[in-house]
Amino acid sequence: MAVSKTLSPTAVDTVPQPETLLQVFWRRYRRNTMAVIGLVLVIIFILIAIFAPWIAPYHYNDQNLRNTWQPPSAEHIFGTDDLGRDQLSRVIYAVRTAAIVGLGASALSLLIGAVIGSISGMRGGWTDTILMRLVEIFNSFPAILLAVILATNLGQSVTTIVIALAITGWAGYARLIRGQVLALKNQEYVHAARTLGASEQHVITKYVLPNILGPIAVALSFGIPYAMIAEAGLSVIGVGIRPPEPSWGNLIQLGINKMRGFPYLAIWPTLLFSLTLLAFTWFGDGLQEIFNAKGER
Amino acid sequence: MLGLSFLIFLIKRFAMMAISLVVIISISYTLLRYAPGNYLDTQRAYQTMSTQINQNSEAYRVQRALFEERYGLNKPLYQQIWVYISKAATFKFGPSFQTPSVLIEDMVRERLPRTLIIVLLGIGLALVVGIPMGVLAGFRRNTWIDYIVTGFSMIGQVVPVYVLAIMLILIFAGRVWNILPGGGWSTPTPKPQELILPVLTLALGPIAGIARFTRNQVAETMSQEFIRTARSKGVPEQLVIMRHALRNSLIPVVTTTAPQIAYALVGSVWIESIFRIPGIGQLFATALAARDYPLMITSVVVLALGVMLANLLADILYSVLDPRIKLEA
Amino acid sequence: MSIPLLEVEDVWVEFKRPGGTVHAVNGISFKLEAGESLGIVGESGSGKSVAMLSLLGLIARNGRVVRGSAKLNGEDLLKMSQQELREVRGRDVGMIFQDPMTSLNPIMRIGKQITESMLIRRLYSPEEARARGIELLRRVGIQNPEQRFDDYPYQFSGGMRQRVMIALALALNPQLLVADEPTTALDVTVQAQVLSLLDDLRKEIGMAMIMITHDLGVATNHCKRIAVMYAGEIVELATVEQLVTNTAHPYALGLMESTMEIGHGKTPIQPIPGMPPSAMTLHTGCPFAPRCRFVTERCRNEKPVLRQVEADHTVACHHADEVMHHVAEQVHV
Repeated sequence: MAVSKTLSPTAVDTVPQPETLLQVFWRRYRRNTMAVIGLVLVIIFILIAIFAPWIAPYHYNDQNLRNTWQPPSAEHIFGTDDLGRDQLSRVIYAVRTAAIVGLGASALSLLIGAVIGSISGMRGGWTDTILMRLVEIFNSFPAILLAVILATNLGQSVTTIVIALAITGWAGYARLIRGQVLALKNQEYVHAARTLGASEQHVITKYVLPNILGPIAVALSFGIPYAMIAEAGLSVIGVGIRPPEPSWGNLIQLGINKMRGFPYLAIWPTLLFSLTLLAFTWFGDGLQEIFNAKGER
Repeated sequence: MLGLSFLIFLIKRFAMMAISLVVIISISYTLLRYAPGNYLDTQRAYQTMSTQINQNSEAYRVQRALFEERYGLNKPLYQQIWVYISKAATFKFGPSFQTPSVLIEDMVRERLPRTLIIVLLGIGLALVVGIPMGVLAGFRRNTWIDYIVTGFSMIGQVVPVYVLAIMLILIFAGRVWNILPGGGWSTPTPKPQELILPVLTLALGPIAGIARFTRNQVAETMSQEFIRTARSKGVPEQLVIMRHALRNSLIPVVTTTAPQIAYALVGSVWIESIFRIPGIGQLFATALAARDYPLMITSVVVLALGVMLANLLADILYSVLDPRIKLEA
Repeated sequence: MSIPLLEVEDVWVEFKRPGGTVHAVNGISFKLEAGESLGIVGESGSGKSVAMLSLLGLIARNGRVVRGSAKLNGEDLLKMSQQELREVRGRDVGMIFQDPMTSLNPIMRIGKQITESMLIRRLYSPEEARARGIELLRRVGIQNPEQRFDDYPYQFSGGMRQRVMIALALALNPQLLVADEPTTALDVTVQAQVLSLLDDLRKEIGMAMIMITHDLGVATNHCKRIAVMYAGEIVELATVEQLVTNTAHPYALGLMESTMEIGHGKTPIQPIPGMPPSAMTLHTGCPFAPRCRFVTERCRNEKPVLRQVEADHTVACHHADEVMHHVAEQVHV
């Protein structure tokens, strides 16, 4: 059952156009329908985050105390809350906050993890052992609980939440980077560079980094929803981002508190939040597939 | 299996766990003490106590000094950490900020069983539902059953507990269909209806995770060569499935149960808050809101200990079931 | 003359794939007498494994035997019910597979795996079965069989595991043993041991054997007759002597030249140029035409049928005489 490439020793004469890397990736990615849907939704998400002020019909803190607790209507498609603020707008701005938190926290985590991981990987020996033990400890502990503790004391603004999440989420990235560094450290071309006198830092930036972009992209695509889940989780307990700044978390929290009387407050943020999470997951799965398909056309 | 090597493994493991806890406790204490904008500030702690005292008055200063004295807050940090850990080792955690007359260990003792009931019921449900789902999907790969199970697993694993809680409450305890209570916990024993929604919510994530894992295991096992060997001996298909396929694919499911228990323990913080259940999770949540540091740290320690023990148990169980695995720390 | 043990006639096997139909086996026929040994030789993808597996109903669910018959002791395997086929497996036909690492259940004691076929048929009591199992282990050369009986596969080396597989396959004294690449996954020294074990056992029990392999050397050393398969068809069927000294098919010739030096030692080893054809298409002409050095126009248009060139020697080639002539020249040079 072999698939033939040529039927005779005299090969075919046409040479296919070399594809750019991006084209290759897109072709593989395209095969997975859910991943494509995820990508579309993620793009929509990003666009909403960027253009929030132009898309939202009202400002998120536009209060109208005569119009509180309104069910969905033509004017306020998602209804209004206790201060008469339009929920649709708040959701839109929440997307923006989520983007900031998600990207910020995971990028920062990645940075911390990358530094620690690459030092650990490049140095080896005691440094490596100690750092990896630290990673193990951080991993054996549910990070979100630590983040919660941190957040209660750092305060409840977007910045502090991002920092809290970053400080507690770096362990996975560190392990990933270290693994990549170890794998590449022993490759021939790295040896060659070092014999030519390249410094450690040079080796890392020029050789290690380009090769690990793939796994990093995958890790980030899963880290972003995690950060969003963590932030929302913090809010539900009461230590997340404080209003008036809207976030998935505090919108859901308000929804929970008022579920008895005004269920519609909970429905929309919950559904859209879940949709966002699923979108990123599908996107991440799709990325994972294209980066793991080695030797496959 | 039992014997010297097992004992050594256990000792090493417990040592690791102890070290991890000590590190986490120290880090937490340090962060709480030195984090910018907030440290073990008596102003804050004080806010949880009395209400109308003028902050500059002599009476306030005396109270504050007493407070610091009682909770050892005026001692240097390392000493505070040491005191906490040495006491914790004997399961004495001291009084909490909020209720100085009640010892934390008593609160833990009272609440822990409630959390455990929910978590164990939840995981039990997850195994009972998740494994058959996974097995079915694994045997019927790429059929509509498989797609449904895989789709459900993905959603169940991504969506967080509090979202699931909201959805379940809206469905079963909402305006349209109010058949279950949306929370509460009768003492001394809870009513069965009160347990249903929290347990169900807690179980959904693990059901998804276990189903997906089982499905992959079954699918992989069925494509292994020893299945073909068994058939080539004339073993009837039913025995092939029961004796060879299932046993091989279900053993690894033990390993996936540990992270699910961890998920459930952590999730209990939200479940108990939303469903108003007086367990450890709720203890932690209220401690957070009140900035009650000893309580916060202690409840986190209890939860983390639970997670670590679950992992340990899973490792031991796995080595018992799979003769190839030898325990190593 | 009694009827042959196995009589395969014009068997075709197909697999349904999303991209199309894979024609794995395209009309093979051969006979096997009791106690005889036949080697089926071919590259990967030639259909050699599928051919035998399909007769016993051991191929994947998307595969079917679409034509032909395979009579074992006069009864057509392809017309049997699942139940009847199950009876045949293990009792009349034993199989051993390529990779002993993955072919044994890793979490089941080997003793239990060996006695499984005995116990499910309730032929022996558990004690008897155990005794027989230990005896089998001894026969295949496992030291300390009483202790080893309760060991797990991971406690054996590769060669020993293959011996366990052999014990397993022989548990019910089958008349035919099908060995699918039995030594491919083993070290060279161990290969020789296992193969000679098989030879000894066959002599002892008088069992027939079909050895499927891509290694022509192994086949010529341990089988009496050889069937060379290419693209799902048998292209040459002969005794070992005939095949080696009187090769009649260009592909067989190419195989010999690329692996061995017997009788053709004057020419250096050379691989066969090109690649085997895709199994998704059926050929109008000879499937080997694109790679054949004796090819003519006739080959591309007219499919050669198996015809006899000497006693017990059939070949499917229009130019078999040329090939044999070429070989004869080489030998005498």
